[in-house]
Amino acid sequence: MSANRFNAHARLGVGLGLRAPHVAQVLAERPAIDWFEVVAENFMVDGGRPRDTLERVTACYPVIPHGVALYLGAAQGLDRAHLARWKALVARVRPPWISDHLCWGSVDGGTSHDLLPLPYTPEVARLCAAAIREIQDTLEVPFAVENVSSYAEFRGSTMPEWAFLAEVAEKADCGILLDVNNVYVSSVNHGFDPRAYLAAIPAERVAQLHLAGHAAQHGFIIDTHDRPVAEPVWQLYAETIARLGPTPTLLEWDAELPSLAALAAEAARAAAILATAGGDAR
Amino acid sequence: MRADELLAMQRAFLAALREPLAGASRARTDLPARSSVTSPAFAATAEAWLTASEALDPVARLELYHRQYWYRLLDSLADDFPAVQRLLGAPRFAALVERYLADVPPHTFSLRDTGAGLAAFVAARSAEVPHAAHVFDLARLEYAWIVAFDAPARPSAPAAALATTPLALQPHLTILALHTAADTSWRTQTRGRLRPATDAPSRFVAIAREGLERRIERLHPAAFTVLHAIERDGDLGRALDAAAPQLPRRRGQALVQTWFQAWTARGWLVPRA
Repeated sequence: MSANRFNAHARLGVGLGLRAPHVAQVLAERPAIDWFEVVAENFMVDGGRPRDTLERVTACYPVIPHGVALYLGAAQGLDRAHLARWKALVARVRPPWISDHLCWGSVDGGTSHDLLPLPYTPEVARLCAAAIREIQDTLEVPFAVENVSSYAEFRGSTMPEWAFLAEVAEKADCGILLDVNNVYVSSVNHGFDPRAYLAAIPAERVAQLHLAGHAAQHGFIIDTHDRPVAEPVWQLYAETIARLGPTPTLLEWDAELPSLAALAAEAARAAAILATAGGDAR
Repeated sequence: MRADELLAMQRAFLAALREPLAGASRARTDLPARSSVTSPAFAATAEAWLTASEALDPVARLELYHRQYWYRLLDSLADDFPAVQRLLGAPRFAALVERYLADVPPHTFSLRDTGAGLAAFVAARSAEVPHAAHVFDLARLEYAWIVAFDAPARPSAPAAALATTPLALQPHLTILALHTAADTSWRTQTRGRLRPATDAPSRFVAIAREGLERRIERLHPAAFTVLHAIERDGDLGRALDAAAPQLPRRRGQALVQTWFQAWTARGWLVPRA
């Protein structure tokens, strides 16, 4: 059962990513969405409409900030100024948990604005775990680390991705945001069995799940978040829920954004799967 | 992998991402055509650090990230500077921001900051940029529009304390002296290609937030001088002295009073930090 200390024992059901084109409708109509995930960095501003939106949505819905720029695997360590921004955001939102990705993206003060893959080694796992421990100590809120989709593997890797993710989570004593679509995308790109990956994840640490759509290319898959969840991913999601029990789930959709009603319909499919696995997860 | 090796990999990887797009990746953008192959350094980075998959060799795998880096930044700057893009046209805009990003690569956590230096970049290379004065003005206007969206709103200085308090401008307020009719073209030509503006006598504008809405408005030259002086050193007396020669003899004092009433009502003046 994935109501655990890594998600503050919250039973949130299925959430949506809050996107700018839907904000006015969300605030005006208060649709029956279980919760919203926000891209944390979009709200690390000191005024104006983003701050107002965050306050108003947080007053109506559970909101989980999801980061894209902590860069846990940056060789030069965490950006403390960014951690301070996180501290201010957590104070405003008071979320039950927060999350960011198991990746790197900046070096020497320059940034890629991307979630870049890491070599999977015990040394790099220790580096990431130390960063997460500092985050949890500083922010005093449970942290869930997310597996990224990737298109490259490193010559220096000495362990599979799933063992790396589990080792980071164990060493950091943190939660896992298991992105089922990312597992599938990487399994196709790197030729591994996604079920072996999912079976190796410590169930008791899974705080949240992600679902999203992807685009197939010639021999590989790009994680585009611009279309419905693919059928193989739905199948993996159902199997994951059967193993974990009802787990807070977030449907990601970032480009070619459909109507809020269409997103809610997609979310309803996830909610039905949650319900079959253990009753109403809300 | 040792820490120094990880750092070396990350430096090489980011350097590769910052290389200009090439080949098919480049052909899918508005960038001008160039050599169809990536550099030897790019290939060396891919071969040194990455493995091949069944479908892709190491260079092709690194190219996927290379494309993502450039497409994300090109899209972001096109979103943030739509009028500059409509003035220059997509190919020349892409060529400009490619040179800009090579010179000023992203260095903050937010994509919103990526274009912060675009106007200064244009000013420093005005001989190379078509319609440089107009582009410079539009780039400043469009970045001020971004600032007005989410910059903080600090408590305003009480009207009674203006004369005795060192002052600054509200963080979401930007004042600009324009050298073209950029504000007019920006406001009125909202679709299609922007017509180049000819140089014009200086005009002065303020871009700020009221409530949650952003506004742009013209300033009297003397009002700009007052606000500019306050922005520079915060002293109200010196600001008024600086503007005095620009004020009409008979209505000058009344004008200044009107401005200050409006500025304090809108919170434009704040205590200097």
